Amino acid sequence: MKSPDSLAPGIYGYMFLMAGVIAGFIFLSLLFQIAGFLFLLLYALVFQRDALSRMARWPLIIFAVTVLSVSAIHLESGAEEYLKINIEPSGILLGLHMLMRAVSIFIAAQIFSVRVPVLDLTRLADAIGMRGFGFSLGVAFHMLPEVHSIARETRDALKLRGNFRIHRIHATKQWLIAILVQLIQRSDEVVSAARTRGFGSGKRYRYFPEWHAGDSLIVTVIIVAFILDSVLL
Amino acid sequence: MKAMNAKELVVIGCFGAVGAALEISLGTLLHTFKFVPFKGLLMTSLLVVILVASRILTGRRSAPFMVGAVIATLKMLSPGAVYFTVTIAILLEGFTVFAVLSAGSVKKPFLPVLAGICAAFYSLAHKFLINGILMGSEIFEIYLKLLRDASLILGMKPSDALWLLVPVFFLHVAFGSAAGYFGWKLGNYLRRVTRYEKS
Repeated sequence: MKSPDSLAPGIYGYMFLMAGVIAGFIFLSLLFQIAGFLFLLLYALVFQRDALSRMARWPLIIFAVTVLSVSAIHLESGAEEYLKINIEPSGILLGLHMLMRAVSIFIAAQIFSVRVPVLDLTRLADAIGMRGFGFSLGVAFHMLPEVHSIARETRDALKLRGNFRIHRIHATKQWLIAILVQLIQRSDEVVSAARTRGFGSGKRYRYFPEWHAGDSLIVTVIIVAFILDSVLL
Repeated sequence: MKAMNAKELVVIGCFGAVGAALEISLGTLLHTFKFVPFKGLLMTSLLVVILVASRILTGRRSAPFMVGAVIATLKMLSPGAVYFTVTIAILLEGFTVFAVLSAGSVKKPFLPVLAGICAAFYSLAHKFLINGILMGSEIFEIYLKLLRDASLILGMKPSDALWLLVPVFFLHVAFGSAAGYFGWKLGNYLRRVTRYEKS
């Protein structure tokens, strides 16, 4: 199920979502934190399922088990003993609270990285003073396969000369230098191509990414949650 | 401040591509092995080499931050699990190198070495900072509890554990300074070999 286009948030909404989640777990009461977590989980399950599916991997499960076990198990006296391991019920609750907070931030960050278009990210960076960031990002993105092929060719050449067998560290250093030298030499071609297409000529304009209706919705929900928390609790 | 020209932006993109390739391949591989010690320090050292070299080669103060931002964005876009913490680390390390190198001239290797040490120490502090954000201040109580439990098992006083930090401290200084110095040398070498001109 997809969210209606008219209410889909943009870069600002997702940024506010991340900031709101972090601020919420610092300033809101536990009741609102739990409500916020459930709301976020539901929202992600319904509208951002692909972002959630990217998260459901082994590292997250290991992380969750580590947080719960580390916070619950301890060696001090007075704790109840199950299976010869000292488990503290308050430690489990503490672990669950920390896990809820961490998972909420992970979900918000994951939604941001999946949903925000790179174009909006570069526009924002460009507009706030990192001029040319989008261009550099584009160059880096297109250079990645080139890095791969140069790295493979150079490694094969060094291997053929036996460098990796005799001086492993020195050969690795040579390898890195050779990759960078070749890339910088090829960069002249990219510069010429960019200039041919008119890069750098004429006046440059700043484009801030558009503010969507969904952004206003997210900001409103966050503000309302903070107001309700301060009024009710 | 004068805007960067096409050549500088392309070179920043090249450094970003190399850094991103390292982060996506080696970084992801190391990230898979949860219990490899000092993997953050290793990745930070490699990153420092690239960031410092970009500053030396382009001669632009903002180059390390731009390269860091490019690497962080590409890392964020790469497929995989949660990269929130790594992305923040790369961005802040880029900013650390940028801030230290902006303090003065980079004709001598002093500032690059200092930048490397600062970035290495940031990698040490990163876990505490990010855990503080992710799990709140309660995590520090758990760290203290773990320290007490570990000292009970080992029969040591918790204060004795501080001695364990001495070799860790020196390791970070050694890796950071070596990375900063190598980055400085690499930047100057690239300048000579590629006959780099700002044009």
